[in-house]
Amino acid sequence: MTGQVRRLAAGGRIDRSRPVSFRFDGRTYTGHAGDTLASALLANGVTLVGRSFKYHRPRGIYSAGVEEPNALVTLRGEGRHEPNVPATRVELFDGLEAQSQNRWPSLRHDAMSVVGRFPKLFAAGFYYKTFMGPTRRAWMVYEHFIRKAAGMGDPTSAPDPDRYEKAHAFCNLLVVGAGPAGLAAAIAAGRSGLRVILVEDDAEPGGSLLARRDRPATDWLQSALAELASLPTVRVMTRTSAFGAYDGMTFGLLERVADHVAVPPPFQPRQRYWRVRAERAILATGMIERPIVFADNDLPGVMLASAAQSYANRFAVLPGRRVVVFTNNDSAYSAAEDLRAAGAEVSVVDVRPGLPEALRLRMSRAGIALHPASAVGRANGTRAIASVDIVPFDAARPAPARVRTRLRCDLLAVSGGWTPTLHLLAQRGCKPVYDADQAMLVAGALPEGFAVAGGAAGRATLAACIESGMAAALAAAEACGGAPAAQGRAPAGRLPDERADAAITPVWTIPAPLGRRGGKMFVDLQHDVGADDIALAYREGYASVEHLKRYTTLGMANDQGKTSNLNALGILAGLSGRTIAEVGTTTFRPPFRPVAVGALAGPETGLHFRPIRRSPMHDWHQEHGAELTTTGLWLRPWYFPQPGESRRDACARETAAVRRTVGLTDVSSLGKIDVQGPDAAEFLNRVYVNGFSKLPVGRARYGVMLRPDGIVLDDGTTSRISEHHYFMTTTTANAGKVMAQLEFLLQAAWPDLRVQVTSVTSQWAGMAVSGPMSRDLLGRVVTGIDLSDGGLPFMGVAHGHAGDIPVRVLRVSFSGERAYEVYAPAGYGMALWQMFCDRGADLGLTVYGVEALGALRIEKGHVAGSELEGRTTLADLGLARMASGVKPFLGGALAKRQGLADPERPQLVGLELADGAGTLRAGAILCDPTARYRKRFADGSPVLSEQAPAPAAAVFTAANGSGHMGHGIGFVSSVTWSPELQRNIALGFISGGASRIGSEVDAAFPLYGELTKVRVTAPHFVDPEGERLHG
Amino acid sequence: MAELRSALAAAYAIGPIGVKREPPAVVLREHAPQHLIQLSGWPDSFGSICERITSHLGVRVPVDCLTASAHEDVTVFRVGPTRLWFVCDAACGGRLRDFFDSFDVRDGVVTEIDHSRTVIRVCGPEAQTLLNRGLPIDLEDGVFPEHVFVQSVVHHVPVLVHRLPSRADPAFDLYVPREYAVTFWEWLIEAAAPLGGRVDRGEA
Repeated sequence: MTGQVRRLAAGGRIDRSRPVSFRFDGRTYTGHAGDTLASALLANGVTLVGRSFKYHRPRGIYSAGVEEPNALVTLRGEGRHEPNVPATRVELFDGLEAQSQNRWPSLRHDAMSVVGRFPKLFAAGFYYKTFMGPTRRAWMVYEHFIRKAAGMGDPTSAPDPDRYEKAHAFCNLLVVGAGPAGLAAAIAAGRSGLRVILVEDDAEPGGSLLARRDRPATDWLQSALAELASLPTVRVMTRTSAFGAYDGMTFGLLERVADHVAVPPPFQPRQRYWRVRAERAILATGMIERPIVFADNDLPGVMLASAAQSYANRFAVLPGRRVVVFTNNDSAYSAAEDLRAAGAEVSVVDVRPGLPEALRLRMSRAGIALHPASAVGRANGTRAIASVDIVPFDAARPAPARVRTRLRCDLLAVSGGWTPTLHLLAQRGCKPVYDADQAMLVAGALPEGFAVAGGAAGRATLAACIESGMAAALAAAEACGGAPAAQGRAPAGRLPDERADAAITPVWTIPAPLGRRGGKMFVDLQHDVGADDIALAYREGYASVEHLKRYTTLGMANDQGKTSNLNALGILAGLSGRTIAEVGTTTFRPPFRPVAVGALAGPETGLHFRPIRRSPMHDWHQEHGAELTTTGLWLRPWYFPQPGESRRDACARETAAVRRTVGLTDVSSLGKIDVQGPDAAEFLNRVYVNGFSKLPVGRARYGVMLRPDGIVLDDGTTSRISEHHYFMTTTTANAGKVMAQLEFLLQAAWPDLRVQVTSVTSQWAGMAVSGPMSRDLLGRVVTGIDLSDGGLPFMGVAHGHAGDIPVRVLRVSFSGERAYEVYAPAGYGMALWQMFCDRGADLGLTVYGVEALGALRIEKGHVAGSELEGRTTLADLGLARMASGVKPFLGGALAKRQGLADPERPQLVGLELADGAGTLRAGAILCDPTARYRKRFADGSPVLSEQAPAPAAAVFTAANGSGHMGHGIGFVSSVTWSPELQRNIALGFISGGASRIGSEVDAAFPLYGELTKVRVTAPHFVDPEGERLHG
Repeated sequence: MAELRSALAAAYAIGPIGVKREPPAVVLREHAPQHLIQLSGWPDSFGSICERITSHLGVRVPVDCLTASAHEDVTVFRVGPTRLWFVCDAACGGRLRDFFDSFDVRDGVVTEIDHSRTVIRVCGPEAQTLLNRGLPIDLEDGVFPEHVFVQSVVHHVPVLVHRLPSRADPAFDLYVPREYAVTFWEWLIEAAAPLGGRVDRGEA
């Protein structure tokens, strides 16, 4: 543990009574509550904190805020491991563990730093040209190493133990940024009674005022915070970033609820993702100080001037004892004065000639040496800055010059001017425009509902920021109908006179000094993009700023050009002889700062990734050991294993019971739709391909409905309960689609029909009683229904009771056996199910799950979701004869299109292994065996058999080298082991359909390199005559 | 009598939730209305149906799909242009059914949906905070006053949210499709944990 050698004896906003211990790269340090990781490292004299993205150059802390491009660290460990976090935004807490990134074996001795000696090899776009040879596949070899060498921190695969929340919030006015403008805006809006949300990324409100030590500023902040606390309609959200602005005045916010502690308190989330909907928004997001580009401007110890000022004033850290301030504007002078006051030896290098006397006098009185009309041509040092070379500079005619003098220093504080933070506006499509007078990008035409205030609006002084914040709030209050009380005044306090003494002189780059080998001049520090990369890209034709961005990676990813954007535009403008306005800007994209995927997911993980639908009998299934599976959102019993049983064994037992005695399965997930109205029969007649108008009361009918484009949408049974009342069932998979189609048709296509449709899937529990003894069991449970074949024939419907439970019974079958679907109000589902179980035990009743259900229906050749998959027609399914020839129906016209009526379309068939060997797999591609090739020529092209047609594009090769060309002649849709037949069987579609029955084809499964010979059969494997249904 | 089983039967655990807080920030309970009946009418005759409802049941049919109306034990939600939900207890249910039995299909159609929804009551000083963890609706008092209801989505689950009248703390009834009840309940309990709450015995 070392001492805080750079900690000032007094001052700052840190809590000196609360020391904090933390570790960086395994070494223990101390700081104080109120420190950031960056300030605490600086206090401990740590200046080397990371390695750069591409060249592995040593990097130090560059800023004090969210714009930090260098000091990205990895926090915590195991499941809480978080890479790429700016150390400047990490609040220090006891036990904090941080590691530097992108280095091996250590930060100080990074083996990959050798890459930095070959910058030309890794120049802009190097991956498009440098590593392309000698063979076409060479890049695949290089890529592995390049990706390993470049980049930032590594993610973890350990599960995150913390919880994340989502939340919604609403307000009249969202104020982003709690600096002076934001505070003033929130106060003014709050006074008028508006519901205000004030968002601040920092741990406390104040913005730039937190880094000031002059009394007028700190007094104003104090009084503003006091008034803010008294306003009941203003909600202040600190540690919260507004990272995205979206349609409809919706904003994405990330609240770091517990990032400032080691472990979140019990039950509390670590982060909360807010979606805020506001009527108006004021962006008081301030400005970010701009670097100046010069040789080796990335050495540790080079820092933004405002950051150095912030470390001295807010965190009581002296970031350098011998400081050079390099600037082109007045704002850096207050930083110089504050650093001098903190005890540093300070020199100021200003590119501007003829500085006003007042400024010279201020510096003289403070004991600060001044170098006007000069620039820093180069920073010198190895792992930290040791000196800077000063060159004479004429901004009107910048040219390389000889070094005039060398100044020793351990800190170079740079200010190239300021750039308003307009990322949220840009996300809404508002292009910033260049203000040449202030040398900054300012907001262009504002989107409706938005206002900009303070530094973000280009206001430089405290008074101007406060004034603009209040003005924006008053306008918002008026737009939102706020109370007249909004006509207030700013919080009390005498504000300082901060008028600039001299105008800024725009400067983007300083030419490298004559007589010295030029160092790298970085524009985008985070992505290692230099001025020479921009020049190279321009020479290669990337003159558009959008192309430049993508070719060089400048301003991309989580940095979003916070410190680099305008300098890059200035350099490109200079290269191309255009103005910055003509060059234009790129588009900032959300998020403004990185957002953890965990926060975006919130609680929607694991079982709650999607909601789960449970049947009324779900608890019974669980209590009786069912293995569960998901079908869509439904959680259904897959099979009910007995001790020691495998899935296949259980399925075989359950299936056999249905074929031999009686089985009971849960079909509550079937879609159920109540159709009522005087025109219900006509409606059904239109939506089903077959007729429904003459369906008698008390009878059900199997129906198929098409989409308007002629493709089959779904099938199911519809029962006529009474003259104008029908009960429709759909497949589980397509229930929602069917309901949506019916509602659309009634509302948009046929509003004249008096029909009401209601989803009653939730209302009814459904269970199927299937098997030769199903009628016996039903007779033990249900009363009030004549269960004889005459009383309740196949496709009959009746109502009765099971005890005091009202039930609806349909004699329909999915299994091919005599079967009944029994429906009861959902709350009684469990009781009815139990009743069947109790009274069926001696009959050998077996409960069965969806695995057996699937096996039974494949044996019977019934189509289900795998066949009704949105591409098949009636004819494909072998159901063409169902279509009525005397009445129109939805989809009927388009079903006759040439492509859908093509007789070569694959049609439903059964499939089985030709010689009992191999594996049947759903999804396998069926291929004509006469088109199989046996081997390949040396160049890889297939040797086709003589009968084979001309090869198509796609190629499948089996493990033995043989294979098929083209896309096959069909596919396998459903596969099962048939307990009844004691072999694997399948359903599938094949061109030629029934005409191929008895022939053999190849089933290719490219994923596993399998080629299996299968025989085409009829799709009905069991009871093709349907005798069991009626037996 | 066969057991009428709640969809939450296995998931319902009476007691505190999450952070200890007294009084609890939110109180959750299942509230099972005895009857939930849907009446759907036709555009040309819906006005006269509404008049019959008002004269027979004494309850005004809401003019919009945002505000429920109530009279004695009957609450009416207009869930569609010509579609109403009637919620009432057992005593009132018989009267309602008798009334609807007098309807002809030309007047409208009645659909029994009382088993289709699980009703969860959320009340307490942080009820709005809890619901806004998932509900994208502004529940602030002035915007979402008593008897206002919305049909929205929480955690991808369709939910009808009704603000109850005359309560010291904000209170809401949530009508959740029965098959989603457990998943929604689990989400609710999880979301309530940081606030501190309690599950009370369900109300029949």
